[in-house]
Amino acid sequence: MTYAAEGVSVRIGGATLLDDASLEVGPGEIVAVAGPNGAGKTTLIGVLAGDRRAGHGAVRLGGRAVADWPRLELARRRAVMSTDRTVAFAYTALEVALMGRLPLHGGDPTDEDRQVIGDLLVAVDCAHLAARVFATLSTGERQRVSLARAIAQVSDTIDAAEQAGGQASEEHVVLPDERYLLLDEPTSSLDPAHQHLAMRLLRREAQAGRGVLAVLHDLNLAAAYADRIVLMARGRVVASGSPAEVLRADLLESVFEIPMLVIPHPHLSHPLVIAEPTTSPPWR
Amino acid sequence: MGIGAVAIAPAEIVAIVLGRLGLASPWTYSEQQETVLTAIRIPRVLATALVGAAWATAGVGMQGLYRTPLADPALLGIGAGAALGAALGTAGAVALGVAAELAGHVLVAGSAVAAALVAAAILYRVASASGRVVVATMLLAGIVLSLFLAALTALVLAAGRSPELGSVAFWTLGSFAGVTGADVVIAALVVIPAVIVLARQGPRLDALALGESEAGHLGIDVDRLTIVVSLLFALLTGVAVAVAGVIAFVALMIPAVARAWVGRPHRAVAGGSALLGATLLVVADVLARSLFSPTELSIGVLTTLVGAPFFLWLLLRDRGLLAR
Repeated sequence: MTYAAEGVSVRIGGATLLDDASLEVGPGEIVAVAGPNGAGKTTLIGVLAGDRRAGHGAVRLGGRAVADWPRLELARRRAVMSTDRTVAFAYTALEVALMGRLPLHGGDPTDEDRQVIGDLLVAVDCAHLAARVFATLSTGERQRVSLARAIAQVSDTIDAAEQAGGQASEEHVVLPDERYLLLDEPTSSLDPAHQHLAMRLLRREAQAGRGVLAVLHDLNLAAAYADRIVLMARGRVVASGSPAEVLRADLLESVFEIPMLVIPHPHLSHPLVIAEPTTSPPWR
Repeated sequence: MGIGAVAIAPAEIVAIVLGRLGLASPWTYSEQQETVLTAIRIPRVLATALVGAAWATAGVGMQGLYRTPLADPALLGIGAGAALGAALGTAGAVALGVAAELAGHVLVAGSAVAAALVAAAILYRVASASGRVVVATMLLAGIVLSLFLAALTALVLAAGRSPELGSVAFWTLGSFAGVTGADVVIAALVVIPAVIVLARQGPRLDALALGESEAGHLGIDVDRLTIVVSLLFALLTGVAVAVAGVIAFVALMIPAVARAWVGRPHRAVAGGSALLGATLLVVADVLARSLFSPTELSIGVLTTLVGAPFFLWLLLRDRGLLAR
């Protein structure tokens, strides 16, 4: 039972965006995808989400091809956070976040939906922004509200989580056990405190059984929170494994084309990565 | 209903309605007043309200689909397409000798709807690139499409040389002067269900505001939603035009006012716009009839005088968003 890309290739015109890329994320784990710009990370999210068809290879959720899932069933099993933060019209942050529950309520949010959204807006430190117009929020604030929206789509209420397989209220859809979050750079515009807030929230979701796949540029954030890191370059998966296995200076230097210092974290168990100043251009 | 070339006091209106129901009342009225009220004024007010609701909700649908408050089917070729269809339909009805019958009205409305749908499909095809709509392209393409279809309509009217076809001014500026009971029946049968179906699409249109692919991630069949909403606003526009010609800016102004009044969610905006649109157009029609009485002003002249500055104000307000 995983969400997996198996030997996926995507070509557009003469460009190869993904080249025989494979990865999988299972329930309860956080997988970080890292790599330089243009490595194919966003394309990979698009293929996993079902937005793009792979030219070769397969994308499966729970053993079934993503293209074969009915839309609504898929929406109840995986949420996607893209990097697009434009919302037409003057919807409030609360209204935008509530849209994440649409696959569950179909248009009439229940008290349960409102409770989930309320809790998540607190969790992303946006409760005070709920009544503000989404389009007028700062980039980081919009990113946090969008994260809450994505998590809400596949999240239980605290009550429902406590019941663990118990009966849900009659009008409410019971979400399947296996659920995933596909997040494209969920922390890119956040300050350090909110980056860690967001990652702790994702850790909590993973502990609740969600599989989390997140594109992260901050290797130290990935080292601190990810169970596995998938390193991509030029459309290929270059390395995949625990932070300690993947965050090696030689590997990172060949992928990012900049000198990298990798040292043990002074008081935590994961490595610390520092890109070093260089005068040479980042291309060969 | 009392205002016009033949004055009817509110008490006299009550008396006429009661009289029609076979009830006595203390007020008296003339036979002329009764005829004017039941054959002209009541159908006209009902048709005006329905057409106002139709334009306003057509605007809600089109704006929701194109994700911008700047879309007005009357300005962007859908109305002009409907006018061309209605003119062709009228020519057909005249040729078949059914212009004055219900069948004739149905033919006119049907061809207006069909042509509005074709115009909507052409506009969507031009204004969307791989599933994403570009607002600036929509505005430019819509205006050019509108001018082209209006020119075709003028051509049809000139070639038809028949008074039943109506004038270019009727089709492009709108008027409720020739409204009949059949118009009211057709408009009611189309507009009321269409508004309800559109309101039911509300939550999906809300999600579409996040973007096409984001809506898809929420389990929405965006292609299907596009077709359903296009059908609805073409239907509403087609019937509105068949009854009273193209009345610009109602579909632009009313949804914006409704959003300020009831909030953003499309279900409420659709309902609020239907009410506001009906009210505004009834008031505008009274003004059109009475300002230069006995000469009647085209109702589109009034809506344009208010709506055009409103459009420019929206453009100014959303300038930053459009530049993206």
